[in-house]
Amino acid sequence: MNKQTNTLIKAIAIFILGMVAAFSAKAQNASSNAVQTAKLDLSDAIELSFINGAGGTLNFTYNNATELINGKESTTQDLRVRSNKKFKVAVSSSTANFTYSGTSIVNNIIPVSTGLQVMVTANNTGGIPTLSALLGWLGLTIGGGTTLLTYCNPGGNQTFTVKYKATPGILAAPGTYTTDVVFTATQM
Amino acid sequence: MKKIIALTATLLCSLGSFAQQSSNSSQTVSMGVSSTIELTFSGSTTATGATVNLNFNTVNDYANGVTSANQELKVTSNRNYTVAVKTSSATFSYSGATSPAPAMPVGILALMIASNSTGGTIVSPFSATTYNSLSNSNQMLLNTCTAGNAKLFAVKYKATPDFAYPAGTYTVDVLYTATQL
Repeated sequence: MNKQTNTLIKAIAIFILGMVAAFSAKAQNASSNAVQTAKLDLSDAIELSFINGAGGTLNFTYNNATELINGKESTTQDLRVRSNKKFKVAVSSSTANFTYSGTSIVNNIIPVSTGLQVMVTANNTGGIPTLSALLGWLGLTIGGGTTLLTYCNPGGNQTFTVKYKATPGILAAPGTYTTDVVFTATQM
Repeated sequence: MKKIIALTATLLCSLGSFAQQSSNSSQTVSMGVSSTIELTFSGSTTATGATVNLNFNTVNDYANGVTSANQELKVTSNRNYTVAVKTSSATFSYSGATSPAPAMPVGILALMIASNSTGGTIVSPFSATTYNSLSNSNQMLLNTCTAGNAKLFAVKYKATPDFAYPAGTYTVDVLYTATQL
């Protein structure tokens, strides 16, 4: 091996060492870390509301005997539940009897259980209609009411639809009869 | 006349000798400057930021998500650098009554750049106008930030678990890494 070859080998070796050093320096780029904990505190939340313009007072007007006997049906009423847990829906009336406003002192008591019925016409909650709901028209009661839907899925747009049938009966005295219908969604 | 010439010559000679007298010395000053970078939270002035609490109490919180206040970070670096972000795990840790524990993916948590004075550019899909989901893999947040002292940027978080998760406490760490270029 002559002197020129030795010099060439040395030069190549120095170049390679230089490249290795350069890559090493690149791999060792300085860095700094910082950390922060994100904590989500979720509380149970549920909301039941009327949608699509529903929720106002429903007025039934009776002008003849046939209407008093057969009753009248309302338009459909859409409701929406937003819940982070499964839930059930019940319905009840605020009073056992309609509140009467009129001049008659007789035949002015109409039990809500017979005078007003409700029916579930659509169910997009993922829940199961109870037997009471499956039977069709359901008379309203006070207190805890009657469960309509159960095991409904959590979600932000769980909807169902109801309609009412109000039947004063032929003996009802003239006047105005009112009651509030209460829907309750309860997490399970 | 000869004396005057001789005196003048002597003076010139003396001045010439004086102008040539000098003494020099030199000293080498060597500064060993290493690559230096530090990333801290402005609030805590340490590398550990205050816990960000996002509380969900109403259905609107679930539906719309909950956002945090701005979280400001500070970088001091003698070289240009990048900033990346990732979470410590793929799912939140859960503490609550539900069993088995729900697996909430960290994609529920999103981040937005609230301000940027690093001189760097925000790397897409992150932006200063919309939130982008975090992941367990490093995602470049800022690129080609310029070297300097106390360069600031701020982020804010938004969590949107929708209505899919039961009550409880869900936690995950968000890791920021500033790396010199």
